[in-house]
Amino acid sequence: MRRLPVYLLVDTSGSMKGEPIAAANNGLQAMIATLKQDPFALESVYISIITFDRDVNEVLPLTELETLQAPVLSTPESGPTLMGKALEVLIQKINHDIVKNCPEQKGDWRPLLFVITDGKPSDKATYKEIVEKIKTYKFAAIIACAAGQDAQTEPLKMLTEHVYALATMDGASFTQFFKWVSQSIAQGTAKGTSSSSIMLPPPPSEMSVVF
Amino acid sequence: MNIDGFEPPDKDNVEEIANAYPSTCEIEKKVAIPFTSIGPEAVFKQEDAFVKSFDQIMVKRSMVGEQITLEYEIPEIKDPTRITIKDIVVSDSGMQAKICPENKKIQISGIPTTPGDVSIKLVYNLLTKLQGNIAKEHVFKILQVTPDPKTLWRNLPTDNHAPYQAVDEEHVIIQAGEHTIIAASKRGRSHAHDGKFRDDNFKVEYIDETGWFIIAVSDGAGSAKFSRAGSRIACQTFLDIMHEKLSSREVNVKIEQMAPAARENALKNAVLAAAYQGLSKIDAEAKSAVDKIPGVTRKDYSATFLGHIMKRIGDKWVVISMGIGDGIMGLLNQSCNLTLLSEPDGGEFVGQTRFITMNEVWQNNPIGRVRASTFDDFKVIMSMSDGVSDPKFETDNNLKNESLWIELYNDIAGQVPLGERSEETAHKLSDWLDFWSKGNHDDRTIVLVY
Repeated sequence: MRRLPVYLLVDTSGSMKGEPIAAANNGLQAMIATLKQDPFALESVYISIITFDRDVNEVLPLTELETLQAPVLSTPESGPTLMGKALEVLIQKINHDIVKNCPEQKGDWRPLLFVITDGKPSDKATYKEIVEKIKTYKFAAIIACAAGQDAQTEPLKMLTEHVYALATMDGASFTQFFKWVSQSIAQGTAKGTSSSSIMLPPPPSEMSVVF
Repeated sequence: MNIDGFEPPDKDNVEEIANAYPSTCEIEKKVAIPFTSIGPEAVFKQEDAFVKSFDQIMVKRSMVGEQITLEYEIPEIKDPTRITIKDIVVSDSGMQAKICPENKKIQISGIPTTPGDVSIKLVYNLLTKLQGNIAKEHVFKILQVTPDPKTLWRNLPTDNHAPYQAVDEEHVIIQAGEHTIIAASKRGRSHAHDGKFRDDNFKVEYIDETGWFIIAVSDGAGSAKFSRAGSRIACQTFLDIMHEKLSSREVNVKIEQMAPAARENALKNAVLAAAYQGLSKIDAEAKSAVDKIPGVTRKDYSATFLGHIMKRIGDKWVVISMGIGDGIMGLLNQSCNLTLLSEPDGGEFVGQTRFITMNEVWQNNPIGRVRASTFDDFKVIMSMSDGVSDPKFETDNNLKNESLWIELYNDIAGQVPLGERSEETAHKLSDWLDFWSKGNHDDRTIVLVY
């Protein structure tokens, strides 16, 4: 069994409090329900969710889709956005989780990484450093989403060429975003991700491509 | 004040109960509201405790088609004569409920038939002082049923206007002297789910006059648009060219007269040339197709290749084999000793392999891919695409594991009456290809010579 590991890094800093986090939770639930209807995804997708605010938490360790229940994300009142630290934790997890291909064992497909933030990294130095390290890892794709007016796209562009902006942080936008994420994942499984990067489906109108 | 040993009434509780059952709230209100001072509310309190205990039941998870048994305790109530369970109805037709009075339990068992929530309707009589028995019911959720992943696979037809039509399934059985060649190939679930063509192909022949076997299997690359044509051309070309050479009596006389080493070299060269001709034919096809399909190149026809020819010469079986890309060929002799006839071309990354259409294959010691082997006897020679070898062997190391080859052969022989040389037998081999293996839903092709 070859797994397709999918990592979701979600900003849960104070500014996400209220409607945005509720919308993100709903979107996450819907995404998992949708993926569970896809036979490819059911057999290969493993999802991990790491949240970052003033702390970094692996709220869902890499878990197979079939049995996973979406966790409910919550936010603290305030505090910094430790996006750099989150990527550090991600690297540790990847080093630990991913099975490499060798004669004794079929390895995992290349992992997919989704990062969603409504702000900017507070730990700039760590972030810069870790972004360079991330580039040496072979992801099928890294997709970053800047949600809302206050999200900064520049730091995300250091991380990946796939940066999208979500204009508003309401339920409809998040629903569309997560729907698109599930399509991207499903496409990843169907293609077998043997090529160096996957073909992303066209984003919904709520999302715009950031150049 | 206590009447009939009931607890004092609790007015708020009446309202609460009335609101809790939207379906029966009309009855509820009629009963509940007039009595503000005595008895009935207390009955409701007992009923409330009874009902709530069911609402607190943990919702379990199950899958369609999976046998499940659940047990719930019937809650103790102060006055058991007040509530009589009349019936228990399970919302899924595959499941039944029964009451076990001996241990005061409700048992629900069966096999869920439909995905979604399964709930139970508890039908009971509530004995009230003023109205006697009131028929009531309470519905609560017990199970969340997920669909069986097997049923989520669609089986969509292929586009019948697309170039290079290919049938979804084919099978054949041929008498080959005292031996038999049987082959089957089938579109994989992952292709059927998206209405894609079967990209695997095979061609087999036994030349009666000269006693040669010719076997070719090819797996078109999933990422190449017309790989179904590539795999067909690769197999057909190999068969045509080998047939032309090996059916000639003159050539056979020469082959038999040659010294073994020289013979092996000559045959190896012939096999290599025939496989390479497959690429030339693909190039020619791409060239002629470019008028109708702009921009098409040989890469669009990428396919793997497994081929072998064999014949009994003197007292030995001579087998010349060649492999490009994944999939595998192996021989078990009468003592069940394994000899691999090809080496898998695994890549550094998962899903990476080599194709007949790659220059590197032909530039980098191609004759090294051709093997000549001799055997005193054989039980079976199996050639298969990775759609079969991936689920059956899983890793490259396991391909060398003799017991897995024996297991595979026994598995087939257990389900396919190999001794009966009829079309039905080949059909059974095709059915065998439907075996279920999680995560392995590629096209599958297998050829057995026995």
